[in-house]
Amino acid sequence: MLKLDRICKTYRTSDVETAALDDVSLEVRAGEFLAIMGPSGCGKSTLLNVLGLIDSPTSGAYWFMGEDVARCSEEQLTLHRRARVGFVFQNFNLIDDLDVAENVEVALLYVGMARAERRSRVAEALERVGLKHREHHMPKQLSGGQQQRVAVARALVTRPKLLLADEPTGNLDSANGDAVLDLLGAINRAGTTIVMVTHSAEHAHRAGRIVHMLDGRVVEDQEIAVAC
Amino acid sequence: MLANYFAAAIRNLLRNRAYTLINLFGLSLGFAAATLIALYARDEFSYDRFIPNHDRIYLVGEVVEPPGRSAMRLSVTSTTDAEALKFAFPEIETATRLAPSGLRLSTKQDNEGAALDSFWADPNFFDVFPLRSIAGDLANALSQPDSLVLTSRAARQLFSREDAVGETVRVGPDAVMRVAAVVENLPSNSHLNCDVFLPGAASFSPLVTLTAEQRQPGALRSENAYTYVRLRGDASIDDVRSRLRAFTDSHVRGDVNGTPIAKSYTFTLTPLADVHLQPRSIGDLKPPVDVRVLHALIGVALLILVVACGNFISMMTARASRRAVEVGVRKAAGATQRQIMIQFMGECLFYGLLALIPAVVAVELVLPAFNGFLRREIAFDYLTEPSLGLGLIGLTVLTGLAAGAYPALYLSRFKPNAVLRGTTLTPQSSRARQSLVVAQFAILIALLVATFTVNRQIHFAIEDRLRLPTDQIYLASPALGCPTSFTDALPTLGRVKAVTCVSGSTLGFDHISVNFISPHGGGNVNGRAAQVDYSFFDVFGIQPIAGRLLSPQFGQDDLLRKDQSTADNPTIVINEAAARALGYSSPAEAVGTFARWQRLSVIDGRLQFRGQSSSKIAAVVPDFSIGSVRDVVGPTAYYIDPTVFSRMVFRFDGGSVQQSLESVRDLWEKHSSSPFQGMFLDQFVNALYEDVLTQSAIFTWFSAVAIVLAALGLLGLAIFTAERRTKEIGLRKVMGARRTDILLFLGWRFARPVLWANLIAWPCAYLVMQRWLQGFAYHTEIGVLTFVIAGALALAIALATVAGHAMLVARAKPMEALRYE
Ligand SMILES: Nc1ncnc2c1ncn2[C@@H]1O[C@H](COP(=O)(O)OP(=O)(O)OP(=O)(O)O)[C@@H](O)[C@H]1O
Ligand SMILES: [Mg+2]
Repeated sequence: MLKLDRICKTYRTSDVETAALDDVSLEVRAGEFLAIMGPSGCGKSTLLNVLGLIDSPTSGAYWFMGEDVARCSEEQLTLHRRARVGFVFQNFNLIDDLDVAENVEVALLYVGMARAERRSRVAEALERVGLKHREHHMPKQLSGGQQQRVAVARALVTRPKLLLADEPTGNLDSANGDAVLDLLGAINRAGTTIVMVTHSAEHAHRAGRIVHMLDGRVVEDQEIAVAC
Repeated sequence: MLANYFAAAIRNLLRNRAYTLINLFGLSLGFAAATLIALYARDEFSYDRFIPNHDRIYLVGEVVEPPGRSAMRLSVTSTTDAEALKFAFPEIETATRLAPSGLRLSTKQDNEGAALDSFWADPNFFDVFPLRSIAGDLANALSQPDSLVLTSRAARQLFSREDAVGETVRVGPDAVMRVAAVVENLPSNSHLNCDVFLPGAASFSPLVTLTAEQRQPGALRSENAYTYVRLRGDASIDDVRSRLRAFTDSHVRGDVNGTPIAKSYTFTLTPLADVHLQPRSIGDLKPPVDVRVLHALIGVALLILVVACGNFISMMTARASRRAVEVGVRKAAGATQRQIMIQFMGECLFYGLLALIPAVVAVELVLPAFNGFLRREIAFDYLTEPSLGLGLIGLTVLTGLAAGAYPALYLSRFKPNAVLRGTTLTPQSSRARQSLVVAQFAILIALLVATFTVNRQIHFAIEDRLRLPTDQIYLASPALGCPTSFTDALPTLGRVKAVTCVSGSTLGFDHISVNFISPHGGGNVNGRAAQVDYSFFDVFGIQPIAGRLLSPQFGQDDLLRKDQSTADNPTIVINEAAARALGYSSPAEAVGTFARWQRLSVIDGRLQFRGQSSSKIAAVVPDFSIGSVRDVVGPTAYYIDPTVFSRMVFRFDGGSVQQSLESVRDLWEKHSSSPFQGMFLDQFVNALYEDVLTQSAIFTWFSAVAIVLAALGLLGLAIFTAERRTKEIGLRKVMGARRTDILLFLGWRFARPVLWANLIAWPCAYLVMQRWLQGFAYHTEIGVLTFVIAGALALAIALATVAGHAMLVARAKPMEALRYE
């Protein structure tokens, strides 16, 4: 479904040039649950952003669901990711000025959907993460775990083919983290491809495959027999 | 989708309540001020457009440029011109005239009479100016020599009701006329200010008497009537204008020393709707508006909007970091940059509409006072007048778009990856925002300089230039004349420091010429003749620069009192302008020499130039005029000529002016049965500058609005910055900074843009105001101090707005500050 071929991403600041991704080739198959691990600064987030089309690589080829998108403009990338990719971030990134339901609704605003259908989709997604009764709360009134579950609801409300999660449990205690991971597992079983960055080996092992990175390179690609 | 945008906008607005309110208030204030200025400007441009076919009606005027003198514009012409024009130009459908009367009207019961502006009008006047009749038939209203037309104001004043048709009115001392019709009042946006229309056909009307005088062979041309012509619908004004020169040459007769008078005359045809926008002319019915002032005001309106928009841009971009996450998330969800832009533009439009409502309310509330101050009838019927309603919406939309464009572009360009990775965003817009603050301060400083300069010039015109106790000098009405029996008895009162008899020309109320034959060859020098008494220089405190003033000691000074018909010229005192024009290199050089000149005097009942004759220049005095500072004081010759004395001027001794005036009045009533009338010099000067005073007041008020707006914007930004900087300040305190260090740090941050702003504002303000001052023949200079004060004031505003807030922040305990974010 996703295929990276010799992808490089370099950041140029005034004096230094950082290679965040250095010749990465990687293939993600449909329906896979893939975990990315590696030390801080090794390029995990960068890889995820490239996969999710919110960043474009400096060089290399990227087939996104069968199309070469490496040279696409920002506008084209936007259209490609619309309704196909969902994001979950480490720091939740909920919009403070919108309540829970409205935050989830944001993901549906740009796919051209009638209001009534948006409503029912939002209700369904919140039901799924167990926060239906909190739909009119503001993000600040929720716990960290609840906020992350709202973020997951937002990511899955479009029924994306691909869900990208950047350290979704990084800011949560273990109980909340487990709950979010359970959710991701369920979503994956329902057919959504998931790529998740994590520092927790335990969480990584709930994925079907672990990719280890170091200094912008993929150093190990490990398939795991699904245990749970 | 809209609901979602709306929720975000409203909650964001509420979250920064103080800042939002300040900006919305500022925007409202800006809209209100701009709307008022627009209404005012629209009113000024709307003059006389209510008259049907106004585009075919022209006021005939003259530009007279006698040799050696600067051109005079006149809005009056000779009473004979209307008929001649109609005869010479078949394009002219109708020509009609109006002549001021100055007669008092009274009903039989009340002998005092009412102060109404009455004009003699030709019978066809209402054909050209079809005013709405309230009672009576206008068609033949003025055709009888004893029937007149009142406006409803005049009717109310005379009869306390509008339907006064058939009533009789006493006109002047001995005529009685019948009211033929009552018409609606002329609106304030008309150059006409008539209350009463008298029948021009009456035998004693100047339209009749002056016409007869002017027709006499050798009569000197005089201008006393307003002449209007209406062209036929298919006529071309350019055709008419192109033949005006030839018309003038054949119509204006006579010559001075062999030069045809016609050469100095140019007729002008001003479309009715433009009459109010012309430069000032002698005889204007109402002071015209200075189009430059209008443009300046419109400029101020634009500046006000720019400043209000600036505040808005500051607010939106200052909040950018708070809304960055929103942009990132929306983009990640598939929003294009365009969609984000539309969202934020829409948000700004929404704020604009939100600000419009209080602005409209404010205009409604202020308009009555505004109208009262301007003596106008400006209406604000935005509901019934679609252009006004649409204009308001248009203004709002334009402002909203202008204010929203940059923030929307800036916000919509956020890269989702950078925002969402959670790296704290350092707003790189701070430079743009700094430039905005600098620009706003530059506007503020420039407006301060402009306002100071305008007010200084007004002060100069009214006070400094004359350097006279204007409240002690009294100009008696010309109706009183100048009886020596009265002036000789005055000193016994002991309350009058000096009294003098002068001609109207001396005070600039009319113009009598002198014609110098230049001693150094090269053409004549035409100037103003000022016929005065010995005490004139005393009354007006004029000291000679060189020589001696006129005095009874010298027989030649008083030549004309002894022999009115002499061909000799009396001794003269000239002003500096005349000394220069006559080619003397210094005032002292002129004194004692003999000037050869021609004097206008009454021969056979008509004003005519006498032959050349030489007389001694006794002294040179500084250029002096009680007239407008807009007009250059031309060459002037002062001499004693009792034959043209028309009024008395008193100077009181500095005691209680009212009491002195009373005793003079009492004495007058012993001498004469006519009422004692006149005005103080300060009243005259204030009336002279009435339009300038109004304009400067408007200008000052609206500049103040712009200044308040700039200060408000800065206050908002200060609150916001201080809020955001709480963490930084907390850290500094943890590192050991003292409160004074923090205050200095914040103060410097806000003082710096003001210093930059001065560099931009000073030269711009200097150039603009220098040009404005050039429009006055006599003006102040722009002092360095003006700039320093404006700059200092701006700095004070900046520091004051910041100081309060900075105090709070600087006082905060470091831990609280750190917890804040
Ligand atoms: N905008 C940028 N400009 C310059 N360098 C950048 C930028 N973004 C990322 N980098 C650099 O790219 C490298 C990879 O960054 P990335 O965020 O992908 O690391 P990461 O593996 O996600 O780390 P962490 O586990 O700490 O989140 C880092 O060395 C980082 O300094
Ligand atoms: Mg990361």
